[in-house]
Amino acid sequence: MATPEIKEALKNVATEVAKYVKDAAVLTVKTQTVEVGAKAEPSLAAESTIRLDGDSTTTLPVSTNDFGKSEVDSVIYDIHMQNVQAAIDYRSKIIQSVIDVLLP
Amino acid sequence: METDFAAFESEMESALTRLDDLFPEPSSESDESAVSFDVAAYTQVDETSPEGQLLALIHEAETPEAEKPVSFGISETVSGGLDKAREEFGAFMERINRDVLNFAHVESGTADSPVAATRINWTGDALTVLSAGATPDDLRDHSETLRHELMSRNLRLRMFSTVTIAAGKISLALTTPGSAILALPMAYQYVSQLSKQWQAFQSLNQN
Repeated sequence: MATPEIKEALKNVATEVAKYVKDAAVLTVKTQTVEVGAKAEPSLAAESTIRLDGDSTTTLPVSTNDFGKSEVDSVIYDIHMQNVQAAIDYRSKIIQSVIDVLLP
Repeated sequence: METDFAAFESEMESALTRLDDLFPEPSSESDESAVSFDVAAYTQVDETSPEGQLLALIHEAETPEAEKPVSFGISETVSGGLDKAREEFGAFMERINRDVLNFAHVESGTADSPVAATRINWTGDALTVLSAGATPDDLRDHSETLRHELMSRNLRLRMFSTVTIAAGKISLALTTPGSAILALPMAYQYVSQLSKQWQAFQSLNQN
């Protein structure tokens, strides 16, 4: 990579870093399910929205058990919450690196 | 060997500390021009160490073209260390650009029998599609693959931020006009060499 290309690559990263700060206010994690082979569209199984101010909303699927009570699908719940945690960890580390780039 | 983020973080911090030791900031009483690079001041640095190789790159950048030894072609120098550093930094920057411009996409299972797919952009927004027939074990494996991919991206960006900070420190030692941009490839080479040393040391300790 020649010097002008390095400058261009740095410019691209700087632009994306600046954009990142704008986009970082809300984190959304969605989990869908789909029947393999069927032509149906994936359907939303769980969704979490976490805002920078700390507010968070999670929508989870429930089914009615034999006793007529609603219960959460534990398999979907586990994988969804793992994804939420992975996304939170990923974002917090990225934010730290972005801060280091912007405010060394 | 699974990379531990906290250990990597401390490697990066240590790289910056070692750089501060190599280029100490001048005291307020001393002449500000003392910041400029002086080969004689660093003769005690081991040439094969990351610091030694960094100083060699700085020396190469500071040496006028006409004084550089020529081996095979008109512009090809004997060492060529700077060209190599620039090439390696270029490849790293391409990877960083790919990371920030594209989604991370992780798929598990086979084409005939997909288990799960996750797409995550670099701000962390994620969409996972699960196959209705996926077992808990399949999903655990998928989560693990996803975690590994995200960790790799985090490590690269952490390295990028360390390289930019290190480049700022190195650029103080560069006095030739227009050479400041070369501080980035130099910083990348320095940080990656230190990181390789640490990894080699860790694997020795584990064997």
